[in-house]
Amino acid sequence: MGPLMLALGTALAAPVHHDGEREGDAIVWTSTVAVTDRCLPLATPLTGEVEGATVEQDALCFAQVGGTATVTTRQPFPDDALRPPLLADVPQRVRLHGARYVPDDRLGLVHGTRSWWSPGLDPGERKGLDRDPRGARAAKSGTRIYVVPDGAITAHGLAGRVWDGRSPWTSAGLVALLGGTLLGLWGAYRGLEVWARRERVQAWLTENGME
Amino acid sequence: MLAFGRLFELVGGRWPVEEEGSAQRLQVAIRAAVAAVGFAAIYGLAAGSTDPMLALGNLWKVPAVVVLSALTALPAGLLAHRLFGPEAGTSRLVVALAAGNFAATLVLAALSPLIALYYNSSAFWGAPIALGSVAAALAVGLFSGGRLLHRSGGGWGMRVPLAVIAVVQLLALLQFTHLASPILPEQTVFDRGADGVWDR
Repeated sequence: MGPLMLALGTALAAPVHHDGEREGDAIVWTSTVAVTDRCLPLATPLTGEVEGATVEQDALCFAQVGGTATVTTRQPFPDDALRPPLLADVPQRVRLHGARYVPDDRLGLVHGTRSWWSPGLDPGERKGLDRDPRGARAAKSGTRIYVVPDGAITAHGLAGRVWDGRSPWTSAGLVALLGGTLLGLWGAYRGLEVWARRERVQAWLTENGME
Repeated sequence: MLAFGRLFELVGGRWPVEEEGSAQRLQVAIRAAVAAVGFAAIYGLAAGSTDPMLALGNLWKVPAVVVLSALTALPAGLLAHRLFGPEAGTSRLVVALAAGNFAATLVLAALSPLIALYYNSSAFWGAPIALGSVAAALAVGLFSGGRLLHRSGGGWGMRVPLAVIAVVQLLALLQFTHLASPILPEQTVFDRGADGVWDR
C-alpha cells in the first residue's frame, strides 16, 4: 500500500500496481496508475516528492489523459501518510460522514448529504443495482469504498447514480412544513386566547345566574 | 414558565386544567407541542454529537419528525373519535396526543446525556442506546397519552381513536424519519422508512 493508493476515483477501478522500496529514511513508491482523467483526486495530501505527475490542490494531475502513467513518490518514513485513511478494503463497516451530491455519473455511486455504513457493492451486483437503484444501499462488507476529497463516494465497479426516493427539495420542504406548523400553532394559540376569554366570561355569567 | 411547568402534570397523568374549557385545553396541547419541539431538538443534538453538521441539522430534523408525524395522525384520530368516541372530548383527545408526544420527547431529552456519552466514547453502543431511547420514548408516550385519556373518563370509546392515532403516527414517524435521515451517524433500517423495515 503506497501513497498513490490514495489516488482515488475511477483510476482505481483499473489495475494499479504499487511497489515500495526503502531508501534511508524514506520509502520510494513506484505506482502505475490508469489515467482516466487529467487530475485524480487524493484522499490525503502527498507530503513527499512526486515524479511523473504534478500535485495540484489535493489531486494528482497528468499531462495526458488515457493509458497508464508511472508515478514515483518519495515519502518520509515512517509517515502517517502511508496509511490510507479514506481508502480501505472495508472489513466490516465504515462510517462516512458528510458526503455531498456530485452530479457526475462517471463517479459511480454518488449520493446526497448522508452518512453511510459501507454502501459498497460487488462489481457483479451492478446489474441488480441498475434494476433497483434502492438496493444500492444494502451494505456489503469486503468491498472497497473510495472517498474523494470533495465528498463523493465511489464504489468499485459500480455505475449510475443512486436514488433513494427523496428529491433535493425534501429537506427544504420539511423545514418549510415545520416552520409553517410552528407559525400555525402560534396563530392558533393567540386565537384560542380570545376563545378562552369568552369561555371564562360565559362561565362567570352562568355562575352568577346572568345567562 | 408556570404554564410550561404545568405541562409536567400531563406526564403524571393529571389534567392540569380539568375545570377549564376546551380553548384552554387546546392551549395546553399547543404548549406541550412546542415543548416537545425543544426536547426533540435536545435529542437531535445528542444523537448527532459526533458530527457538528449532523447535530446542527438534527436541531430541526428531529422536531420536524415528531411534530409532523403527530399532525399527520391528528385527522385520522379526530375522525375515529367522531365515529367511535363519545360526543364530547375532542379537545381531550388532542391534549392526549400532545401529552403523549411531550412525554416521549421528555424521555428522549432525559436520556440525551447518556446518548451523547456513548456516541463519543464507544465505537458501537451509541446507536443501540439512541435507538433504545426512541423505543422507550414511544412506550412512555403511548402509556402517558393513554393514561391521560383513561382518566378523562372517555371509556372504551376513547381507546379506538387513541389506537388509530398511535398506529398512524408510528407509520408517519417511519417515513418522516426516512425523509429527514440521516439523524443518527449510522445507517439503520429506519433510514429507508417502510422499504427498509418490511422490504429488505
